[in-house]
Amino acid sequence: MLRYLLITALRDRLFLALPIMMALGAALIILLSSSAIIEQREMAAALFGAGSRLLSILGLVLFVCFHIRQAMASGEIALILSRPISRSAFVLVYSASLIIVGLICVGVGIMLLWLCARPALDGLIIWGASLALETSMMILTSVFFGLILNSAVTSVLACLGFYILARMSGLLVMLAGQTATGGLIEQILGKVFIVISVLIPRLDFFSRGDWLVYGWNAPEPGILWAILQSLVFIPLILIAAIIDFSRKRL
Amino acid sequence: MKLRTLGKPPLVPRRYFVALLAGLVAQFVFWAEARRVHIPWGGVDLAPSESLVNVIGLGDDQLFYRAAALGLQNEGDWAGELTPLTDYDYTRLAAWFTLLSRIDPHSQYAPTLAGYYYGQSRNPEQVRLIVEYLRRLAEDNPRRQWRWLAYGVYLARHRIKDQSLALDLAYHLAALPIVDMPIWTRQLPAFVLADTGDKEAARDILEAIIESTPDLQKSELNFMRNYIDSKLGFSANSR
Repeated sequence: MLRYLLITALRDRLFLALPIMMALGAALIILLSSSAIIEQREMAAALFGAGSRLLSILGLVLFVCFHIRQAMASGEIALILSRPISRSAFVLVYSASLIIVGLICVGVGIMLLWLCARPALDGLIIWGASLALETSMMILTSVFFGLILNSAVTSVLACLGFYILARMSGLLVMLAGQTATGGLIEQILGKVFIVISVLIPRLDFFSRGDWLVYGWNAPEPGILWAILQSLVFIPLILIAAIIDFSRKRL
Repeated sequence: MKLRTLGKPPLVPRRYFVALLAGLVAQFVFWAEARRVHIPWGGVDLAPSESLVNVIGLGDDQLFYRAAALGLQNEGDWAGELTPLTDYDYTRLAAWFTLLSRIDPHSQYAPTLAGYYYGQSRNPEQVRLIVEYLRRLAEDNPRRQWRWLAYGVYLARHRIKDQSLALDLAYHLAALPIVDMPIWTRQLPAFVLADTGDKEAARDILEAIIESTPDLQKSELNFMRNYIDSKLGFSANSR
């Protein structure tokens, strides 16, 4: 399965397009940060860290959603399932292989970040580890939406909407708390925010630019929250994908 | 591979190439006209609320901090357009600097930009807003940001030319309970007082420093004695 996905990623030029886009982004950010009056290294680290994170997530979400749709339409998934492999095992192996593809892309991003900004090594390690977790969670979310929805475009849009909400979920929690004393509409909105924030992971704990600037000693919350969130969310989204795929007619 | 060798690719009608060429020419003409058109700078934007910062930075406050700081540095000076500092809305700038320093209280980018760049305005009222921001910054985190009070003294003395503000800031700096501050931070009120002509008060401060600091370096001691003697015009036994 991993070999099949790696070949597909090569065929779709994922391993070519993503590094080229990141390298172009790095060149632009080196140019921008060189004009900063002070703290140029910190500027480059924070901007390239966020840029490479967004590029990795966007590239991988597009790849996964379109790959699933294409594999479904061409009957490749049905062919794989004709072998003695259960649907749940398929989802697990398929997801694990996609995560490995994702980790390769993250590795390229980390390497470019090191070359571009030379951030503190401890911060880079924490940031890289949390980006690997964040990317894995978004790959699994893409697998989930890719298997549920019958259109690649809809899956991509759902994933990106999910990602934006997840990055802002800390704010949603805060807003929900503030609406408790407001009017009826504010209270209803507060309940909606609470429901959304319960279901959506706290991705604002991941890949924080503070780690790239201040290293391990960056202000709280630390990486422990990101690890805990991954431990909770990864099994949840995997089980949801397995349940949905087990009931799906191919 | 085989498919590619099956035959020549189908011919594209020549008129399509003509249309493509016409499109390129039109784009070139548009570019030539549009490059003279500059979107005028609309002034400093209002600083967003802290919740909006979270939305704009997609949960990454450091990204917002750096991007906004770089944006503020280039505000008004973009694509060959240069704006005099007096044309900026300093109330809005001060709100931006306050927001940025709240997002990242450790970084020196926002105060440096405020003090060394925007603090160079020739309008004293604008500089006063920057000094007020620097004072608040130092008050919120004196251990890390006390130097900005000293810079505020400089701005007040030489840019705003408000000696009472400078003296107020200098007294504030000298009174900070930070043990490892250099001795000149305690001498600063004396220098400001000397500037205003209150030489006796300046001498009193320097002598109080000499008396209350037994481990003073000899060079510092000599400097202060010489200052009292030659700059303030008091001989050693004039009291």
